[in-house]
Amino acid sequence: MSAGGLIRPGFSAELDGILLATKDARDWIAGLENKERARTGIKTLKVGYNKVFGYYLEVTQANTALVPAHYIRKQTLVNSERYITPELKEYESLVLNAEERISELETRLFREICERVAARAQALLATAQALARIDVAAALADVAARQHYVRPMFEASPVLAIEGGRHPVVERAQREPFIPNDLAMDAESRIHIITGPNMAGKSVFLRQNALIILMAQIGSFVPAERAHIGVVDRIFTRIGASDELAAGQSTFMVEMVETANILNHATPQSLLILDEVGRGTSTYDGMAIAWAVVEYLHNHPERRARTLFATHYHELIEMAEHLPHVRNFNLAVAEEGRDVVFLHKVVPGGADRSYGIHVARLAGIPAPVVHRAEGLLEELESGEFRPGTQVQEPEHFQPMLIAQEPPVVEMLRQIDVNSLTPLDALTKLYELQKQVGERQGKKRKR
Amino acid sequence: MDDKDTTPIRKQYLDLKARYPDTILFFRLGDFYETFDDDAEVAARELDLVLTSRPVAKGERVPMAGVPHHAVEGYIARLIEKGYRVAIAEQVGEPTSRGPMERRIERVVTAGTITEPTMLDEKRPNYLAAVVIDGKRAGVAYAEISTGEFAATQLEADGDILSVARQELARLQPREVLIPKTAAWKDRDPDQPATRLEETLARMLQANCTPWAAYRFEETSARQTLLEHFGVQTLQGFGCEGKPLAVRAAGAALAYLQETQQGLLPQIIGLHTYATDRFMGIDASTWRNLEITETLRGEKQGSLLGVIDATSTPMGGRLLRARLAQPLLDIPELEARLDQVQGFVDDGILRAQVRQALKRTPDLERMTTRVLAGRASPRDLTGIRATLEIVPELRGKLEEANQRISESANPPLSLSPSLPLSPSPPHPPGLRHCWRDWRRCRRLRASLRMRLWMNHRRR
Repeated sequence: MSAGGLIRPGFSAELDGILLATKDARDWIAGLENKERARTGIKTLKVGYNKVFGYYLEVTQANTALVPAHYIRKQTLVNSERYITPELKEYESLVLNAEERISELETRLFREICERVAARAQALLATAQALARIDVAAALADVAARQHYVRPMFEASPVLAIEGGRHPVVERAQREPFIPNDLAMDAESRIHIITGPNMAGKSVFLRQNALIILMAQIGSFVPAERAHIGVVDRIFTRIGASDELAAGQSTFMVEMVETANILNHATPQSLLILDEVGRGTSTYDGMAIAWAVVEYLHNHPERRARTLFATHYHELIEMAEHLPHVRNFNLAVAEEGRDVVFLHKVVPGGADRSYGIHVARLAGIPAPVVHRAEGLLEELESGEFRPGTQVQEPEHFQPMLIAQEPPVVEMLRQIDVNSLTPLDALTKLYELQKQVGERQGKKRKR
Repeated sequence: MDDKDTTPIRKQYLDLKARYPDTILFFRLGDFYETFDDDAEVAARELDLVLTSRPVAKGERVPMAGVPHHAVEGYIARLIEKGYRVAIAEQVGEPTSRGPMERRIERVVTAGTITEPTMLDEKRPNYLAAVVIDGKRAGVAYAEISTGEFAATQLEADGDILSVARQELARLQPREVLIPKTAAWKDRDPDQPATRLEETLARMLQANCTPWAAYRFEETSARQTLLEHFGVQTLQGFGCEGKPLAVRAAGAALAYLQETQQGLLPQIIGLHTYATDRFMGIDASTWRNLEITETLRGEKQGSLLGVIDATSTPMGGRLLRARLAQPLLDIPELEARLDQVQGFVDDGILRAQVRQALKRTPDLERMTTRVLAGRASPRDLTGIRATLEIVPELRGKLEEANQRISESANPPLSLSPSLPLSPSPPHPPGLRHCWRDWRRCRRLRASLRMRLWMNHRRR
């Protein structure tokens, strides 16, 4: 560090003057150590400084005999003695006084410079904001170029045409190539029911579309081959309950509160992401609620939002037959013998099975449990559920390819949902539940 | 305890403590900041300090725990992180032969009012928010004293005002939220049901919640705070006339800042009143579910922001985060933003050069704000200088790029209108002279005394 420290020489004549005036004194102190070593012959003599005594000369105990007479002893340490001389103290006071003035002066100069900067703060802040905008544009461009994103196109009508869309986070996190998927929505095709087994990628597909739209509307390129986006005014999601559970509310209550919020506030420009609505309650309650929600969104003139509705109730695919703007899609699955392979590809049409047992096997559920579940499923689907029956031997097992419907489904199908009042719906729901209860009761009596 | 026996320094301490009862008081004693009584027990527990004691009167000692002054920032940061507020009493004036040195509260550090660079996340704004709810309307205001940002809005709902207010706060992710203090707040059992909507809201949020004098949220008082701070006769210029809830929240937030900063807030130069209907609505659960700025586990890595944040400067990082929280609805505005991105996508060389320059650019925004607030260090000035050396270089690159674009046969777009630095300097000429002077200003050391020649001597 050069003399002056804070402020560069040449900035302040006053400061430079003080520094120059005390230069001799500082040089004298700086040269003292060598000078005294030569004069006294004490090779280990040191000049030091502390807050209490100021400058001192330090000599080790072994050499104290060589100390000249004019040294004044100030302090005795274990291994050394500290001395001062009147001459040293004179120079010291010169230097210390100067240092004090330098310090004051530098503080003042620093404040003055700060004031001058502050006077230009508006321009500096405007520059900072401009730099931020350039930075964001260049950064988004960098990500777009590296990740092969495209520029989205916008329009006001409620369309969504995303070709080859990818999930920006998942595609970066996973090693295998990400399977892109399309989404095509317009006024005629507003509600897409996505069926398919768990783990097949329903949630990823739902989220990726929400994220692509969000990215587009902050002015970013998007992970797709082509994206045509009718501006979305709100994104609503109803996705598996998470941290609310800790707050003590039941999963189902949270689900319903969120669903209520959506049904009360969605607009025709909104995007709805509904993942497994009605999961937190019994199967038929859940299915009935899911059905009614979709119907409401389909028919209510102010709530006809673009909706992606994922469900593992494959029974809900029948809605497309009753509601003209509803379309079915499913996540393709390839069956290889008793195993299933998830293709992660969204294709038109509904899935007719949920493959839950296959997922159970993949998850490592023990083989006897899986076999038993397969047997029970077969009985359930054929309407001959007998909880008491023995486990079938695996060799005799034939996988059910075509599911037989329980009678309740037929009852559901016969309901004319378009003409149903809420009260009727409740009554119907009660009937349905009773029907199921009776069936099970009968079986138990048997 | 007999008053006469109490040491003068103890009296001084108790006086200060009585004025800041809801804080941990860091009391400067020589080279240490000491805490006493209950504060000492909290500090010792939370900061792993040794709990000792100090005589305060004849035969009476009180618990004490202290930290060395040079390491105080780290300790304060840890207390703030744990949700405490810290008041700092400094020694002022010269030591006198009789009686203790004068001490004054220099500032109160709270989660939402941090300015120290070491305690701030540089790519994230550190918001203080204030919220007030009245019937079907709510006011939300937020401020960032490290950048001078100050904004307010009035929300209305025909249904659930709580979820509307929560949505706005979810977007902001404030570090600290002010709510009107109810009379019995201090004795409130956290397991008891909340008595006010603001309290319910505060419990839903992860931010530190600070009850703040209810009268500060009243319209007359809040309006007065704003009028006085900005030195104006009417709030019309800020667009919040006719939005009483926005005024109430903004006034309460400003009053809180004034108290914690112990004085003027020159960096708060204006209030921006905004309407939420210009932006895409993202409710609180969607914000979380889509893992936009952080994952469900609370990490940036693995969120959308984690993937798209390739910004090179702290200012850029904060802007990207802000844009993510307020997606636009206006197509021309969106196209303008996309044009800028397109410009950099098409010109890979320009992009590399610009990003290279930006990587060397420090936080001009927060540095300038610290200068404005009178809390600058020499490092801030050298940082500002460094930025201003980079700006002409950047401008040159962008002008060249614009040249190239306009020379091409069918120019698809131009960077000029979108990059304000490029066509004309944003600051008037003459400023350069100032910069030249600043260059003369060198690195400062906290204490210069004697270091100069001691170093010289060692060599």
